[in-house]
Amino acid sequence: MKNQENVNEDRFFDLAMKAIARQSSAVEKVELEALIAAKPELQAELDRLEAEARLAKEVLPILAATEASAGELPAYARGRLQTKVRQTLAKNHPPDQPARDAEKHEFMRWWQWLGLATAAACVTVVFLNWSDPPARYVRAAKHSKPIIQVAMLDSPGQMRGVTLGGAFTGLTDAEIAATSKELLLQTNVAFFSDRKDLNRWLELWPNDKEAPVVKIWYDRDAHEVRVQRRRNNIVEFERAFPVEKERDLPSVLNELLRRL
Amino acid sequence: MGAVQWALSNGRLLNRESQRNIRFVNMPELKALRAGNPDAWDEAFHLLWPTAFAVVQLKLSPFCPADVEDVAIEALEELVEKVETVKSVDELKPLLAGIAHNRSVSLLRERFAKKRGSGKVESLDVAPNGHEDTRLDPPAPESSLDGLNSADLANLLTGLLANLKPDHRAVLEDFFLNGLSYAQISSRRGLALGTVGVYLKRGLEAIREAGGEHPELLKELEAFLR
Repeated sequence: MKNQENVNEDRFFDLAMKAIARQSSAVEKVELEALIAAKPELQAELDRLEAEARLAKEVLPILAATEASAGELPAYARGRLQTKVRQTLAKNHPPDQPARDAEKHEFMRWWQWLGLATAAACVTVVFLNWSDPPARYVRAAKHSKPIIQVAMLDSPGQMRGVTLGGAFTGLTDAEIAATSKELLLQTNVAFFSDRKDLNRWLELWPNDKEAPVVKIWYDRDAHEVRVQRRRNNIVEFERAFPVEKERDLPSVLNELLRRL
Repeated sequence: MGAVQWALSNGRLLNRESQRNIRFVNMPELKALRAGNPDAWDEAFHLLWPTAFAVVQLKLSPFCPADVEDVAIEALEELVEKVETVKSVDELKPLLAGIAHNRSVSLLRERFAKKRGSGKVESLDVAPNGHEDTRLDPPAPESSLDGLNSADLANLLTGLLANLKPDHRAVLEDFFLNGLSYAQISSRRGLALGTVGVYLKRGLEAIREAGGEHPELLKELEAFLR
């Protein structure tokens, strides 16, 4: 008797599954209806199985996607995500004194490299203009000393150079200004904590008909150095160089110069 | 657990005991992630990206393919915000999947609500797959996952990863997603015809068990289907 019940249960389940998947033959449909007519509580069981089947259809593809292992994080996303990490979790990770010293040292080294890179950019652009010049360029070259402008965006949102819960977390604006004056005397340097200000700076280009103007800016928030060169207000060159780690800045700037 | 075992787990060849012991290869420690360690997060982003992308792609690729990467990145950003809520790194992938899923559904709702006009918002959870209608119409309007927030969905996925046997899962996929008959599954998997039904039954039981923490899920579904 018990075995017969099990057989009927299994048969009902198979018929229900086929009905739910719309795989039933006409005979099987009739058989299922007959089983339910004989035992009306099976209708509730059929409803439950249908609900579970629907859940299975929805959740199984998500489960498979959860286990996906192919695909590379796009390079451009990394800076954005790390910014999010700093903004969200900075409070959990106040840098200790050695870390602050290391950061300061790294920052100083960056500005040294930036100063060097700026000077090298001047030399490179001038050299390109003067080396083996076609006759028609000679006169222009005498007047086309490039104008280099350098800026940096470091928004307060990244908790650098501010106090957070009493803990000092990085360089102050005064330190940055002193560093820049010391290392970049020959260059225009602008510091921005608001992207709108940086954008305004990027809209202002010297009105020089002959000399190329090069703007180099380090977007510390986005982890990239960008460069744009214009002549007669026409963009000649533009490029972004991702800075995955600040210690990579020298190589990034070398690459920038190579491209420039 | 090494890389090979993880690869095997993707191929669903692990036995139940091994499946319980799955750990993310090289997933950094939760402590480092909570502390905002950038190197730890680099590693985590690298390992988590395929999940975010695959879940979002599943939902959005038929309707808004251009938004897939953006939404996947946003899902990772939201995961950063929620890292303090998890108890172990093993919870990160399911939680990310839940976030990515719900963000995708929200975007679809927003897009199609705009197209249809204000105040006419419907659930857009059921994404088409290769075996269903993939026309560029709005997705189907009803879903059993609508009532779940990303954490609940993550719990459901975690429960399934722990309790749904790979061979039962394979039969469920063949039957419900690939539309194969009992006979076809029997032939494909080398199973007796009766075993196919048994595996289906056990698989649905595991789903019921995983959904047991969210009884409203199945109740709503049953009510809807009546």
